[in-house]
Amino acid sequence: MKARLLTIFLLFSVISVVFAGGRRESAKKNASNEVVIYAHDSFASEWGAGPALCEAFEKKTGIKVNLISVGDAVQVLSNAILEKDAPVADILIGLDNNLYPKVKAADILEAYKPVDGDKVIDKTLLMEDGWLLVPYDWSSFAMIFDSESGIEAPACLEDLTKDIYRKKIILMDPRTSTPGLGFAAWTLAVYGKDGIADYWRSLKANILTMASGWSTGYGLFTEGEAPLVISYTTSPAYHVAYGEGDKFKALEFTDGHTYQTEGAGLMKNAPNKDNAKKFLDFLISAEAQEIVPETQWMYPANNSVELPESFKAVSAVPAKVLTVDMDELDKAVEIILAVLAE
Amino acid sequence: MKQFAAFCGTAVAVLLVLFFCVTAVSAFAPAFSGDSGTAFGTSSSMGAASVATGSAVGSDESADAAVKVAASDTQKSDAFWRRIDKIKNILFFTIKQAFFSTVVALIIGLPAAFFVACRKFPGRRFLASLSSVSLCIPPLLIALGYVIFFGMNGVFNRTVMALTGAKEPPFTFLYSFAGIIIAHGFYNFPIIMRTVSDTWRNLPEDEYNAAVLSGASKFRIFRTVTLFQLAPSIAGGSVIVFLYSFFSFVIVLLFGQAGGSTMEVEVYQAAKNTLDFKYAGQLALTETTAASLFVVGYVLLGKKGRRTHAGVSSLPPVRVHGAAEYALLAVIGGAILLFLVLPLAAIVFTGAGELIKLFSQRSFSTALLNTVATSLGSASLCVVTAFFFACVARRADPYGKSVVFRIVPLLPMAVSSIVIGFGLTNVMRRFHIAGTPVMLVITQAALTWPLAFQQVRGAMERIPMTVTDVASLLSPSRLDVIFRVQLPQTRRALFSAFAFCAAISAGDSNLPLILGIPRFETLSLYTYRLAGAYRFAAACGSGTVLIISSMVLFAFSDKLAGRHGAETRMVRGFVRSFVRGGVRGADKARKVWRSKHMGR
Repeated sequence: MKARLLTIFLLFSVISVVFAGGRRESAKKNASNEVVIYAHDSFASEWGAGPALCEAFEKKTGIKVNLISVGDAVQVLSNAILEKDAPVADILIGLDNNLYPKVKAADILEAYKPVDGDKVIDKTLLMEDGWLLVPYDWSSFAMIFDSESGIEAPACLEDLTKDIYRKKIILMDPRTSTPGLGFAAWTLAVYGKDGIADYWRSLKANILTMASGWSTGYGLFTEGEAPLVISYTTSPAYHVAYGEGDKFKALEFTDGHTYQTEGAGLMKNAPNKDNAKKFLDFLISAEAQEIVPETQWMYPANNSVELPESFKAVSAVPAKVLTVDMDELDKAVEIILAVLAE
Repeated sequence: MKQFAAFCGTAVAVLLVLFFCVTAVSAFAPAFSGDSGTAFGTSSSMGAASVATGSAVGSDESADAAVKVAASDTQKSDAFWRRIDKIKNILFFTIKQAFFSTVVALIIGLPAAFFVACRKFPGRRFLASLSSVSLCIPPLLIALGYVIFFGMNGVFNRTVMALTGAKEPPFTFLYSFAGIIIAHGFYNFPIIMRTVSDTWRNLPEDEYNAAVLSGASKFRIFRTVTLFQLAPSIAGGSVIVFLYSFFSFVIVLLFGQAGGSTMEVEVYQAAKNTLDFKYAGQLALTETTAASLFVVGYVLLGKKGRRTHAGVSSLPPVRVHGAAEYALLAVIGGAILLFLVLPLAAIVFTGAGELIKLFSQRSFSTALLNTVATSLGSASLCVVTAFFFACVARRADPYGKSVVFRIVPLLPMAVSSIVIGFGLTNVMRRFHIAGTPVMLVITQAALTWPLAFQQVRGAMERIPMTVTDVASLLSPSRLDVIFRVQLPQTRRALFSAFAFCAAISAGDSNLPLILGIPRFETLSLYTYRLAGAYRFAAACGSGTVLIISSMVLFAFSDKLAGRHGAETRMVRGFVRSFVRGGVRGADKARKVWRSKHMGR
């Protein structure tokens, strides 16, 4: 007996520490033949584009992809900022045009124009005409409406403040989620920085919840928790593809719509830079882009890709496109959060 | 060999405590530094100042210089006051929700304690067994169960809608303030039930009998005698429930209410999303100060002569009688069934079908393996540290008189895991260390070991002084006392504490979340991610595994502890230190025990 017991406990701790540490080591060893990607949940999860894309890339190049899901898009960025001086990731995926000012300010990415980038990607998708973020998909923001809910569909942002929608709208937190930020930007574009507080004040009672990410919010919506959710004009294609019919409709608002372009960025000091560049080349190639529409449920950035059958359910791209004053967006989010906390 | 083991144990214990102090300090440090977020802290204050300076450019600069400085100064102090105001609001909301959660827990917990302690009825054992819920089921699963059961499209609303033909879901409380406090209240009421019923069962008969003889009515006896005797344990239980609700994280995060959010969630958002470290530091400092004031204030108040009555003859439980009692029992039982048992059952029910699919997934088995490794690791660290400090306490304070050794077990209650996690990420940021699983293990241990200490110390105190005295007289080395007497004698408590800490570690989703270790997922983090993506069935499956493994570990822990009598039981020991609140050696029971066994 005697010392044995304490030794057992000590042994336990040593074993588990070695076990946990050792597994990391083995992951590090073949670093030269891998590429590490930080992505947001909706890309990296098994129903997103990530796994299929990575498998195709691995098959094609033999380079191992380490796809790490770090949470919402904002967490992708903040994790990368924290590791700025000793980056783990080579590529960040899921940063969008609304986050772009912060991405630029953080100064963690390096512009890279993929092979054929000019040819296959429309210039309108680029952010500030540069290649700091490589666009891989885009869509317009829209409220998705459950047409079987038995209530009237709203026709503009103002309608959303009506009493009949009390606790019937699911939004996302603009601090963590890009559609959440996109909706904030939308209200900013329509109401301006002076009208935004009043709008959100009258909207407040109708918000069922502010989910932390799109997956959570949209999941709540499809579970039937509320008949309205902020998403994209292309989202109904998902329900058509999965044989759920067309009861979920994207609403075109008379105010006009803002859009989102999602992009991937190459880290400065990326440990596997060459592999990362190869991945970005691959990401916008027709082969990869064909996977995007029916996993991300967005339009592919590559204009040569034909849209799948399910996208026939998607209404035309909204005619009126709104632009957002990016310099005001940060302040607008603060105002919105202050209103919600009142 | 012995020297080596002793050396290692000491090193582990000392390093762990050092680690705790360093991380705690580095969580608060940013509050005082100018380190206001690397890239996108709340730009409002900086932005406002630069707008003020920017507008001045172009006019007569020398004349405007003074105005400019004044302007940016007012802007700065404006931003400062706005910041204070914001923190104040969040603190107020946090305290408000914790207070009402405690009220709900009391409303359910007190009658439940009465029935468990004083009445016999079918289902009494089941009700009593719920007392481990708050510790052994992670809050994440409560949140999950509530959404499945009480969501707009949850089991409950659908059933009611089908029965009544209503078109609208009738119960929308989940996504509101009421949702938070009901979830907290029902999750934590077992703490109140357990502490109060323990005391109630052991109330001395004398005062009650005296009151009956003087012709007092039953209600009057309750109001003037019983309630007064129960007060310390009611207060002790309430403090714990209040603190648990004060630090609640996952429930508030998952319900994502528009507007109000708690300190804990705000620290997380600032540390993890907006990267405003200064703000996070200020929040962490405010949160910890508030909680410490509460704990210390309570301990000081508690000094005024409170006693617990144990081992004195008391009234045996009788059958439930009278319509009022039946009605009360039905209401309380129904509420507990509806708000606690059924949501949890819904998880197991939804998840059971998903289990086989889950086990075939690699990500799940990796997460399971990781959980086993981390919980074993952190539990071993906890036990080693706890044993070391129990030995120290035994030498330094053999009669349990020191306030320090009473307050130490309460430490992890004043510092939250989010705050410690934030401190650790600060340290890692400064020295450019990437997060590793080892850090998770160490951090969990640094927060959990005082719970193990509580348990090991209880066992150590039961070793008669004469035995240790004789052992130290007769053995050549002081280590012999430790290895040949103290270690074997507390063996059971050590294993019990080990299982307990392992279960706590396995259920913890806060630390893995805030540490955000790349390529490393534990079971609770895995469940959280699934729940966050509303893959309910899968989340429930993995949650079921978590519930079952936690329950097995707790049952094991309880069984080991139980053989030594109820005193070693975790919750009770924990609460007792609250109830005693630092009373110097006022524990009658222990004195009685000592005098019996040691002839003092």
